[in-house]
Amino acid sequence: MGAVTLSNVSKSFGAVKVIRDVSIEIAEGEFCVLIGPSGSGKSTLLRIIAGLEEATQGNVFIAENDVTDLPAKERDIAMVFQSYALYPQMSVRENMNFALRLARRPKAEIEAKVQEVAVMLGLEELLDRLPKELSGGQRQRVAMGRAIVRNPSVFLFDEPLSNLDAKLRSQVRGEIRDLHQRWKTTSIYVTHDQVEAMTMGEKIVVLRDGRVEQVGSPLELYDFPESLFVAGFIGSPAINMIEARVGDQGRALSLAGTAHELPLPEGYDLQSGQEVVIGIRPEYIDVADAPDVGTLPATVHAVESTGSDTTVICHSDMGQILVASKARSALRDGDQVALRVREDKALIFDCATERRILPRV
Amino acid sequence: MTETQPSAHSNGPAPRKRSTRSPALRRLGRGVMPWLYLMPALIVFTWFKFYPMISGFLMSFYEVKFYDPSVWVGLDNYRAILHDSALLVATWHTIIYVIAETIGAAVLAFFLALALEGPARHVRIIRTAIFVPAITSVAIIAELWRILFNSASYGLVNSFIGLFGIPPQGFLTDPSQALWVLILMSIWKSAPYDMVIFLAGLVSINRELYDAADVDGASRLRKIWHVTLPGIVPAISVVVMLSFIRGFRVFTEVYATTGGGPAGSTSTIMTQIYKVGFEQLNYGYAAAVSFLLLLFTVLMTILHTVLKNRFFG
Repeated sequence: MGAVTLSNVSKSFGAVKVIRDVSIEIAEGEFCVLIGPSGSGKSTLLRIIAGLEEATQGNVFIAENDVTDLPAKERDIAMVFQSYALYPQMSVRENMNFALRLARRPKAEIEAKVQEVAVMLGLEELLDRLPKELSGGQRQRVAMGRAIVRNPSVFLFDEPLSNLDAKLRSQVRGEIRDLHQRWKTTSIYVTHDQVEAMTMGEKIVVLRDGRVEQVGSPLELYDFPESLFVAGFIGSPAINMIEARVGDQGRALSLAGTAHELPLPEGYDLQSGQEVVIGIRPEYIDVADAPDVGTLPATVHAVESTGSDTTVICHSDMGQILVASKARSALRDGDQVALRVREDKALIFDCATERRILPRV
Repeated sequence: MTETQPSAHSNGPAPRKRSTRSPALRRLGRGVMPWLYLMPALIVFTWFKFYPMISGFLMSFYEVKFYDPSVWVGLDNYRAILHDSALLVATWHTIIYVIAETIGAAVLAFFLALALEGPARHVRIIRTAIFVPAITSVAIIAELWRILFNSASYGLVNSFIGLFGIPPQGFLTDPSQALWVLILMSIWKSAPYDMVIFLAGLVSINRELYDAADVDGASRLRKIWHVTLPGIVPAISVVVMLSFIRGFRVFTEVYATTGGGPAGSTSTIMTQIYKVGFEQLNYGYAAAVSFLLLLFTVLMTILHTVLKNRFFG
């Protein structure tokens, strides 16, 4: 068991800086997800923690030991790779016990451990097969088994579900969560899929261009994103962003490109004329029965339904607006609708800094 | 009716022009066309490869005479092979040559490939430089090696080993050394070629396997053993196969350096065939040996394909 601390870690490849002064604290037993778009440095950061990549600056601590200069094998970590990275010429059993064999552990102990983990993951029948004889899901489980067998202080996952189909992905997601509940081993999980991050992480670290954009619990990031980037990255369907200017002596928000106004939510102290972006999650916009004071006119462009959720995609003078609800919709393309925004749920961002403006309370 | 048709067409794919040829003619066209494309190559191959092969095969059943009709001797030429001690010696030399050259070149090529893989510019320059022997004419290489391994005390290699107090060696003129100098030359020439095949094999190895091995605690040697070598088995099989085929047919390298000498110490199957065929003018016998060599090469190729399909198919 071990907490993981990154202290001012930076990494450059030649002149290109991929990690810029990152400091993160991951508590013992915590499940932490590193998320960000391609090129945000999340995989590089995981490789630095693993010892597969050297940090240009800064320190990495595992269980309060400075492991910055230690090779991967001495860091007491185990890693599950995107491609699973199973040795193709070795059977499932040999793949799982390879690290223990290299560590020259007693044969009986190796056999017992492999057997125990194989039973836990339902791999007993597959122990003598080669990786090429397994399905994608089975390979994924072997890769996890190989990591678990070593009983490490920290598990590292590098986009382990990206090669699985949607159904299997949600199943394995549940399995990883259950395993973590059971073992309570510190886990660091890299993904670009925000659904994975939201459903698995106890703590999510959002990375952008090699910097930490925000750290928080899934719902903190969803409800109180600190920047436009996090607001846009977390949440599906995506948050609505409407440009506006503070008017009416700081009491209303004039929506850009229209004559419409929204009342400024309570508690904000904004200068008249200040340029802002209003962020509203799609579930906080309703389709009103009829145009009214405070509603915004829009035209239905498309209606997407997954059965349980419905998203109405509208076009308006403010741009595209998404409306999400649990109820089925009878709207059709081209229908004129009036949208009612729940201003109390609106998030307000400074247009220039892209940071969220906090209310006074 | 006629007015609506164009609009229907404009929505769908463009209308196909109907062929005026009958189905039988179309089928014939489809059968003949590929052969027409292959024709130039087939004519060249027939004239320079297939005809000589068949002609050689037929010749192996005759005592070939140049000014009289050849005499049918049945399997006599093949029977004679069994009692030809010079050919036996040449075959033995060839086997030693093939095994030593294959292993030597493959091992050297493997380590060269390990050292020179990667996209860095200086590595690319070195790779190109190392490849030069593979594309240099054997006659030139042979001349270079004759100069390098000149048996006189002022020969380049002899001068060098003289620095360590070793007396001048005969090399290509010493029957106990000539074959090994020849093998060394072939390794030097073949290794770069093998290296390129290994480099292609190395590129195909999943890099995450090396990371996994690092995390598992594997040393550099273990990584080569458990990740690199299994990853390039297909490349190894290609290198070994090509080297075997090349080795059993070795001729130019020997002919241009020692001509099979001294005292037959570097004679190989091919130089023996040349000697019997073109010096002793026994075409029938030379053709019989050539045909057996061809048969052996084909069998080796089939065996390689079968093994490859069974284990890596």
